[in-house]
Amino acid sequence: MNVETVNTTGDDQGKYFVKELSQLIDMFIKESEKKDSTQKDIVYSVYEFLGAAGYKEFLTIYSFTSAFALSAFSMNQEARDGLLAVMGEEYFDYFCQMLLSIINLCNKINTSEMNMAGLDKARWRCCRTDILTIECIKEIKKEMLMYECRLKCLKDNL
Amino acid sequence: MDTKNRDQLEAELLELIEQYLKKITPDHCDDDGIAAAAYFLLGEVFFSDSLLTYLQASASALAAFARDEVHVQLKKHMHDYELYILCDMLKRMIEFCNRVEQNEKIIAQFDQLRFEISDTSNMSLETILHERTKYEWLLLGLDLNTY
Repeated sequence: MNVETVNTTGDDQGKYFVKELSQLIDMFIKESEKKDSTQKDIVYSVYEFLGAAGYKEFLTIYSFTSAFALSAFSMNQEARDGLLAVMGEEYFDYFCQMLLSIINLCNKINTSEMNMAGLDKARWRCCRTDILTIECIKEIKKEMLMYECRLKCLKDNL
Repeated sequence: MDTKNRDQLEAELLELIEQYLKKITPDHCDDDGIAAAAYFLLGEVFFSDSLLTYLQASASALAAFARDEVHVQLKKHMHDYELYILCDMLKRMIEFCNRVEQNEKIIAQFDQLRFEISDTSNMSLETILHERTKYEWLLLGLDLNTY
């Protein structure tokens, strides 16, 4: 559709195009999934960033490590000066902002059952199926039991 | 217990997780999911710039940590294993930024969040039309690859 053919105010026109664009993006995501189901999504990338199978521990570890680092930079002038000399003020600021955002990311995921379930799904989807150990099977059964209980709780709450 | 049995178990577990996610995840694009958490990590509407700045800042910090004068000072406040974890996290951040930047599907997921949860009222009509053309071409590209 041409811009000139839309007979509305500028604001309405903007809303109209944003809605149309959102539909196009949605179509693109769905079509790319159809064409290449192996293409990784954002959940998988976050899963890998959070130490892959170790994500449950790393959510806490990364949060604490980022906080320790920020605290060390603020308490030690020499360390901060050394970092500033190599990184420059602009990148040092970005770096601190990034560490703060990592703390927020970890907290946001750790406190949401839905997000933890998303990472659980990523884990079992990319799990190596050629490794067959009793521990692994026990873990799968334990997780199954946990999800059965969660689903039962959700049904009971309805 | 044979491999088939284990694979079956894994498939059943995935099915259960899927059922659970469907029950608790709203159908619409929401601002509580992992995609949104990653979008906020990358500074919302500035995600494209942040992918580059986070990558450069992480690489630059790793170079700084390798210097004796910085390393010695940091060790006064952080244990060896904490420094090791920090370096590993920065390495993973570099990989994350590279992976996201090269993945059209993830960029589209972020674009979707940009238009659904961020305030885009200041965005010009030209920018929106430019984005629309980009996705029309991307969809056309997918169609052409089918044949």
